[in-house]
Amino acid sequence: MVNFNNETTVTTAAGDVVKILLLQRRADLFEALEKYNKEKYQGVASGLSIVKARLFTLFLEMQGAMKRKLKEDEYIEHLGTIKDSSEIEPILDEIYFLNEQLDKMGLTKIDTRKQYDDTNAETENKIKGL
Amino acid sequence: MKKRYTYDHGLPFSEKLGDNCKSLIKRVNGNKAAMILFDGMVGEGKTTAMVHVADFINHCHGLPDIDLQLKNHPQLALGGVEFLKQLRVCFDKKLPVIIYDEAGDFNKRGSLSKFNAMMNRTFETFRAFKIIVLVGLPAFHVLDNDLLDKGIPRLLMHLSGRNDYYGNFQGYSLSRMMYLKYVMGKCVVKPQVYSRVEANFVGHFLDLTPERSAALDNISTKGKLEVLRSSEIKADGLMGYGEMANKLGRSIDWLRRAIARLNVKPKRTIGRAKYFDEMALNRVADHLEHDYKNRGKK
Repeated sequence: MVNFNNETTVTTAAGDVVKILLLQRRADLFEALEKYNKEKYQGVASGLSIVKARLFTLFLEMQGAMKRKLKEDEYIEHLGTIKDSSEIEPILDEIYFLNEQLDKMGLTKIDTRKQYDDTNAETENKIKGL
Repeated sequence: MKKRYTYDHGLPFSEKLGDNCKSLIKRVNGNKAAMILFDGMVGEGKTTAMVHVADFINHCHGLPDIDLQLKNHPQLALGGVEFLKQLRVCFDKKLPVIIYDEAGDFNKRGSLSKFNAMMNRTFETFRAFKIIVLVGLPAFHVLDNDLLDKGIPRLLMHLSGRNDYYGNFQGYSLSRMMYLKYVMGKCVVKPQVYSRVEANFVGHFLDLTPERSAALDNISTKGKLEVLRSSEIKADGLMGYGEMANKLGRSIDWLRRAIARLNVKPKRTIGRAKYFDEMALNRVADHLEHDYKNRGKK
């Protein structure tokens, strides 16, 4: 998008902003989950409220994509679980599901570089097309 | 510290180099060209490392160590002229590897020379011989870019920091070689570039056994003496029989007879070869003129 507050014409595509926001939401969710687990292992009574709230926000951030990717009944089922579940297990399943979706979108897929034995010069030559 | 000639795994160099050589043998068997460059400053053990690698490649083909006799060393060539001759011998004898040592004569400064054109052509076509060429030269960046663009050198072994017991090498693939060459073009202290570009593998190699080392020294010294001899002769402006005969447009036999008849003394004799100066050439030329006149009278 064009930055009208600045005279320079540097633009950022809306998609790029959303991608960064999604990753931020994911990091926030992980932070909340970490806090929940920490308290649970310490034996301190802890609620799922913050985890659920952040999971729901992440889902909303991805809503458009989810609607396109999922069948209608699947979409409603996922939304229902996130909104109504009070147990940790279904919440965790939803976190795993959204995490996989982010990986499929290429947002968290970082292991794309081809793995090879780079101590063998000829293997590297072949990989580099030489 | 006791001097060793092989490591515990049985090779005189790090195993990784052996694995890399095996990959190149596979490439050559697939009818593709393969060349390994060995570069390093004087005394870093280029020839020693090349002999080790050539022995290894020979062993992989079920052959003995390369021959290092003074009069018979088909797999070791000193300089480009000898290399071109030996390459044919290696092909005829079905030898899988040849060493082209003292390859400083093949560089981009002489890129327009007839010799370089001939060498380039040879390197373009030698894949058909199924021979791996090991090239030893002080700095690989003097090579023509064209050679790298054609993908003929597959591995660069940079040698440095040799001591009394072992030498060290760094191995670079072709893509890293290209990068090294590019950075060297921008760098004043060129050898520093090797510490900037990460090597594919590093390792060590040991000395040759004393017998093989002595045999190699003999060949190497002979080659270096020949270089010295030709420089000496060029510096003094002397000529051998071949060059004189060429200038006079007569055969070497005729020239030998004329020199004997005129009792011209050589300016210098190195080994069995005689070298003459400009004055000797003029005397023979006068004799040649006289010879023509006499023929005319008859």
